[in-house]
Amino acid sequence: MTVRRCLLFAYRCLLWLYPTDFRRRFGAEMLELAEAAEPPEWPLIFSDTSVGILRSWLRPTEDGATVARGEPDGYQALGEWPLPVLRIVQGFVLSVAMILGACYISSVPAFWRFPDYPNCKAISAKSGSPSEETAIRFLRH
Amino acid sequence: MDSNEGPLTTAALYILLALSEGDLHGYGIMQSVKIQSGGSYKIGPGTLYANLSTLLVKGLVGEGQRKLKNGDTRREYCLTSDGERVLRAEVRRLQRVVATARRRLGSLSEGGT
Repeated sequence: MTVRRCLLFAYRCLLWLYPTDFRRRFGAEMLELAEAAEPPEWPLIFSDTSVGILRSWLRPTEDGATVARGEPDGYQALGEWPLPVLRIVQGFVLSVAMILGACYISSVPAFWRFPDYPNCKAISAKSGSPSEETAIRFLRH
Repeated sequence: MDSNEGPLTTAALYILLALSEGDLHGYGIMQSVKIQSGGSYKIGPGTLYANLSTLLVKGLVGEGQRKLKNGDTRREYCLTSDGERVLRAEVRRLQRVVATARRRLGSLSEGGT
């Protein structure tokens, strides 16, 4: 029960990283989904939501819900504070998360090792396809 | 949305298919997707609501409120006529892909691979 409560609290914090408009519109429903989730579904819920947060910042929806609204030719007067503190904190947390994620990925050697791809030449020889010489002759012709 | 815009994403296709059965709330859509795919494709809340947001903007999905017995209201999503049209176009496109794949895979198996 306590673990569940901690997970829900963590999820609530995660939702807070969404752009405000998106969170206001869907945040309550997303929390309901998390509350209804079974324990095996928690990894999916956390990973999917984390990716969703990045996506929502990087690729705004077409109604501009995640884009700062302003006049088409508006400008920022000197001395005006352009960003609310909330946005700055959100940006900071997201940046730290992305840097930590990149560091983690670069530290995993398996990530950079390319798998052994199937050898097409061997397959074609086995299946009786035209040989390489025939192919080269065909191309020259 | 125009059906010529391109193929739907897997998540969007599953969401539209789920809503073709009837109006559903978020959790209902998640469960329906799981059942439709036989558990091979699970949609999380991040993907679900990002897609719903896009589909709402494009007018392929609509939303409404349903009053529950305890007095609470719950938001439900439905398939619009545009959504149905796009879904049908996507299913036709997939049928063509499957037909081509069957032909080609058939010729491969005849070739002895």
